[in-house]
Parts: sequence; C-alpha cells; structure tokens
Amino acid sequence: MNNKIGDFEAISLIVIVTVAHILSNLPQTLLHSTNSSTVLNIIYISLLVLGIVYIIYKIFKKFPNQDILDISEYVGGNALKITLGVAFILYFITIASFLLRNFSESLKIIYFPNTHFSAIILIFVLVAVILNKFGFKTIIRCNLIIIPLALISLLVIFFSTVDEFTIQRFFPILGFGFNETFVLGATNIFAFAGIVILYFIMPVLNNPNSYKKVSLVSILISSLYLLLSVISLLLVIPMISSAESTLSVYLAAREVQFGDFVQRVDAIFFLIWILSIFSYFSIILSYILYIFKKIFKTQHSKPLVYCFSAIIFTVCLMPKNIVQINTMSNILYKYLSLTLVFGISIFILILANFKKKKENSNG
Amino acid sequence: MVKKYIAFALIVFVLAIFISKEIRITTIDDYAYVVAIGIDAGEENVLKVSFQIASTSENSSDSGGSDSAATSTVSTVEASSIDNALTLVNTYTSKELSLAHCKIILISEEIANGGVSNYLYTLINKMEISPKCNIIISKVDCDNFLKQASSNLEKNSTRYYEIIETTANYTGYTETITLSDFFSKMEDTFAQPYSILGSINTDDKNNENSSTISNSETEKNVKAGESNIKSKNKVEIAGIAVFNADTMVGELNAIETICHLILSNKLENCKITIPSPFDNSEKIDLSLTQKKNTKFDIKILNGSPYIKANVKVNARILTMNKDSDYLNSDNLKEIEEYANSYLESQILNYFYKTSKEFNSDILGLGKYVVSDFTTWNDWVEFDWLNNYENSFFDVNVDTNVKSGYLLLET
Repeated sequence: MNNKIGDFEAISLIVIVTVAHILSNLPQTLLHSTNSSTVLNIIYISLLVLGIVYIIYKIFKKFPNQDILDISEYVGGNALKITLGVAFILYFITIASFLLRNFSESLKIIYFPNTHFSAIILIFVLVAVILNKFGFKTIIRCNLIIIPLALISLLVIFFSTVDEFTIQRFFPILGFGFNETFVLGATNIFAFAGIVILYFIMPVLNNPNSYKKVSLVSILISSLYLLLSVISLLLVIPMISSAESTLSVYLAAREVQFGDFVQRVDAIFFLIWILSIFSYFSIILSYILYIFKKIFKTQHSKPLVYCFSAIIFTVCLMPKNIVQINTMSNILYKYLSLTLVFGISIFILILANFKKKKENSNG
Repeated sequence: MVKKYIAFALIVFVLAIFISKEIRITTIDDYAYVVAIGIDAGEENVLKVSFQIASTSENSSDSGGSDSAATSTVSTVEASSIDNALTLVNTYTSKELSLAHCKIILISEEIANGGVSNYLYTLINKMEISPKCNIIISKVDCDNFLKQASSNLEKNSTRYYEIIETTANYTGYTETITLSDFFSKMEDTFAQPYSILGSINTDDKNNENSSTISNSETEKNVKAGESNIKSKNKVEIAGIAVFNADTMVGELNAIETICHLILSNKLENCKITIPSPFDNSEKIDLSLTQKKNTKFDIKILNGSPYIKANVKVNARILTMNKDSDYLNSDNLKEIEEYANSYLESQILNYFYKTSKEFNSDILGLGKYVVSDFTTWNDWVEFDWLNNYENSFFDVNVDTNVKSGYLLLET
C-alpha cells in the first residue's frame, strides 16, 4: 500500500464504509434504539464524532506520516503494535464477514431464491481477491467510480419518497426518552466506525496537511447520508421502528416509482449496492493485508489475499440463519467498534500524545 | 501477466455459472401474470383465493365466459393460506404464476370484518408484490367481482384497474389506497387504515346502455353496489371501507368520502348538490376544488380532543336555468352561505360518524397532537386511537363561489 492517494479518494474510502453499513441495516438498528428521536440522535452523535475526529487529527498532527500501528509501537513497543494489529485484523474480518453474509442472504431472498448463499458470498470474495491482486490503487479508483453512484442512489430514494413523508413521525421528539437519546444514545457513535480508516490513512495521503479536511468532510458526508436514509425510513415506513427486516433501505427503495411509467426501480439500486459492497469488501481486505504486512514485516503480502479471503468466507458461513446474522452483526459491529475504534485506539493515541509531550518537555 | 488475470477471470466466470442454479434463461412467456388477487372466506377451507391471470396473445383463446375473459382468466381455489392457494393454482397452470404485475388486492367484506393483518403481513412480505398495488374491499364474492372486472369502455382488466384509480380525481367518490398506505396506517399510532370500497351492481335489468339517476339524496348516499345505475358495467367503485386497526368497522358513502378528501387535502374535483336559496324545490350543482389545505387546531380539553377544522374550497356553479341570476353579488353571497352550511353539516356528520360510530381516526388527526408529547411512553399511554371517540368538533367552511362556466346569467 505504497501508493499515495488524493483527498477525494481518501474521503471516498471512509464514506464507503458508512454507505455499506447503511445498506446493511444500520438505519434500522439506530431506529430500534431511539425510535422517533433517531434524527436528533444522529445530529447529536455526529457532533460527538466531529469532536472525536478533531482530537484524532490533533494527535496525528504530531505524528506525521505515521498510522496507528506506528504510534502504538511508539507507545508500547512491538508487542502493543502486534496486539493492536491483530485486534484490527480480527475486527475487520468479523464486521466484513457478517456484513457480507447479511447482504448475500438478502440478495438471495430478493433476487436469487434458488442459489445457495455461499455461491453469492463466493462471488463477492472472488471479486475482492481479483481487485486486491491488481493493487490498492485499482481498488481506490474503482471506489471512486462507485461511491458517487451509491450516494446518488440514496439521494434518489430520499427525494422520491418525499411525497410520502409524514413529518409528524419525528414526534415524540425525545423518542424513548432523554436518557435513551442522549446518554445511552451516545453509544450510537458506532455508526461512524468508518473513521477506523482515518487511523491508517495518514501515510498514504498525498498531502498530510489535508488530514483535517479529509476527516471532517468524510464525517459530514457520512452523517448526512445516515440522516437521509433514517429520515426516508422513519417518515415512510412506520413499522421499521418495531419490525426486523432483511434490508431496511430496500423497503424504502420499493416505494420509489416515477409516474406510472417507471416502476420497480429497486433492481437498479440493487445493482449499485452490489458494486458498493464489492468495493467495501475489497477495501477491507486490502487493509487486512496492509496491517498483516506491517505487523509481521512480511515482504510480499499479496499471496496472503487467498488466505484471508478463505478465512472471511468461512466466517461468513458460521451463522445458521438470518436471525443470528442480524443479532451478530448488530451486536458485534456496535460493541467491537465502540471498544476498538472509539475506545482502545483513542486511548493509545492519547497515551502517545502524553508521551510526546513529556519527551518534548524533557527536551 | 495480463493472460494470468484473464485466465483467472475466466475461471471465476465458469465457476459462477456452475455454482449458480439461478443461471437460466427466462422470458416473459415463461410466466403467467396475476393482475389481481381476491381473498375470500372459504367454505371447506380457511380461504377462497382467486387469481385473475392476464391472458397473453397465445393463450387468450383458452379463457372462459366472462366479460373480461378476452384479456384475463380467473382461477379460484380453497386453501389454508395465500401461498398454498398459489401453489395449488400453479399445479395446473402450464406457467409459473408471477405476482410482479398484481394491480389489485381484493379482500371480501367477510374477511375484512374478521381482521386482515395476517393476510397483509403475508403480502407485504412477498418480494414480488409491489407496495403500490391497490387494496379494495369487495362487498360481494371476490371471484365474482374479478370476473366482472372490466367495462364496456375498457375490456383489458389490467388497464381497467389502472383507470379506476383515476376516477377519484374527477368524482371524489373514492380514493386510491395502496397496500403501502394501508399497511403504514395499520402500523401507525396516530391513524387508522381505510380502503377503497367496491361491489357489483346486481340489478337484473343491467342489460341496457342507459343510466338513470334519481334525486340528490340518493346520489350523495351512494356506496359501491347500491347505486341505481342501469348499465352493462357491473363493477362499482364508490365509498371508503373504514378500519379500526385491521378490522373493518364501517363504510363511508359518497358525500362522506368527499368530506374525507376535503379534510385530508386530497380533493381534486367533485360535484355536490345544495338546496337552492331562491327556490326550495330547486337544487344547485356546484363543482368543488380545494382552495387551501384544511387547517386543524386540536386541543386536549379535560382529556378529550377538541378538534377545530377550517376548510376553504372554491366552487363553480354548474346549474343554469332560464332567468338565472346566480352571479350578482347578493345572490352569490347567499349561495356561498348555503354551501358553507351544507358542507359544515356534512363534515360534522363525517366527524361524528368516524369518531362515535367507528372510533377510527382515518384522517390521522393524531399527527397534529403527537408533537405535544415528548416521549414515546407518554404518547402510547395517552392512547390517541382509543381517545378519538371522545372527540368533539367544530367546523368552519369558507366557500368561495368563483363563477359559472360559459353563461353568467340568463
């Protein structure tokens, strides 16, 4: 991963993670926890995440051209670097596997009822393997093509369902209560776990000074699209706050029609979303390889792509049914992200900051 | 290097083909397209399900002897569930039934009176069925309804189902209600669902191409299947079926449906008849359009909702007689006052019918109250849907009579 990337490419990397999770029932998870106050909650957690990202930026500013693995090595030596690296690899494998399984199951239900889900997963894995063989730059370029399409598809869903909005579904404004919206609701910052990319992006940025711009813009775009998808679901489909569905955004997409002539456009959206998941999965796989290469100082990481894709494929097959997948992906994504992305990583960055300050003060 | 990638891509492609059972060529001719589903109570089983299947040019000659037979065929089967019925019909049709083009879900009154949620959850759970297909409550046997579902002006039943949606725009006697609308309201905490009301005109004299209309009282009270129209067309779509949660609790007639459309800001155009202020024996026909959206002011007084509605409509005078002078300012004011008083009494009647008789807030007035509550628990405890029957109402109508049409006075 020695190729340098521009600001727009970096923003796309972070946004695709949020988009992939929006497609995989993230809005529904948020709606279940805060109900009618979800919009308020998203605005609140967006502000929290902007604050967190600003702290991350301030710390990374002191460590130019270094990622979190370098910083962890600085804080706790090679042992901490390897421990953190392995934790990130496990995190990426887990969240990518469950997301992929969830999406593949939905794809099977909606369009390929006679195909075994493992065949669908296999296609996603193979695409990720091929893209990773071509290299990080190829993945970034593909993502650059796909991300505008994905964002446009979510925008189209929002604007096409505006006529069916019942604005009063924003009320009661505090949903399940103040505590659930602002205290327990603060844990919904896991929705912005895409900031994990920020921990690794500094060394590959063309212009390290644009780190602040990249991080803030990507959070703003992520929060905007999260907000739009939650609004579409909350105001159009009242059952979404109580019922479980396979792909919640797809329910909103089914409502889209343009006059009497263009109906059933959900297939077009699904095509774009499949491409988005291809891109997301390829990016996650490339980061797994990058971390592995960095912590174990291997010369060639590309052959490892088969190994990790096989592991991910196997993890994908573990859940027995859609209920397990939903539970696992909701719980694991939330708590792993809170622990690793918003907990341990920030703690290490803060420690690094203190160590740096101490070193500077000692001269 | 490039050859390596091409070889790899080829392996992937071949693998994808072999592992996927879905790779097969299907064309439009491989399916039989269901355009309407009728759900009725069965005699020997739980349900009697009817499927109206569109005939393609190849198989249209096989269809039976109904009015819509040239373009469709109706298959009815008794089964324990909709899916079982679909499977049973699939066993003897040469093509697989596809619900992707289903336009109408017809539910019999008997089923609606017992609760429709189980059937609607099953239908909304189906990927094939569009949430945009219409829901009609049939006052007659669904099988019979579907067989008669065409008109002498439109033989193609699929096209016919598309046309009946638009009748609401120029009659105001019904409203287009989709599966999605119905389901949303059924799940809402501040609204109750309602549906299109349909029936068959069973008058035995329906062989003539003439329509006879009686007095204005009959017209405004008309509901599906109760008109005195004599025509070849048998299917009638008029009125609204009112639900409390998933159970049908009553019907609204034509004028009540017009009131409903005015209050829900969905009125495109309709005609009403008011008594003439100048001659008790005469009536004046007015064409109504919505001037401004109806404004509601809802307060909770001693635990009961006090609902105030401000309605603004535009009207044009359709009736013209010899020596008519409707459009001088004094006469116009008098007509406006008569129209206001007529509409106020009809709207009040609508309000009290939906609240006291049906206890069903089909207008979704709860949405104007929900913002007064801060948490979900407070709102659920208040129980708007059950409190609606304690409501009392005040209606103010402002009719603005614009003009007549071509003649201003005679």
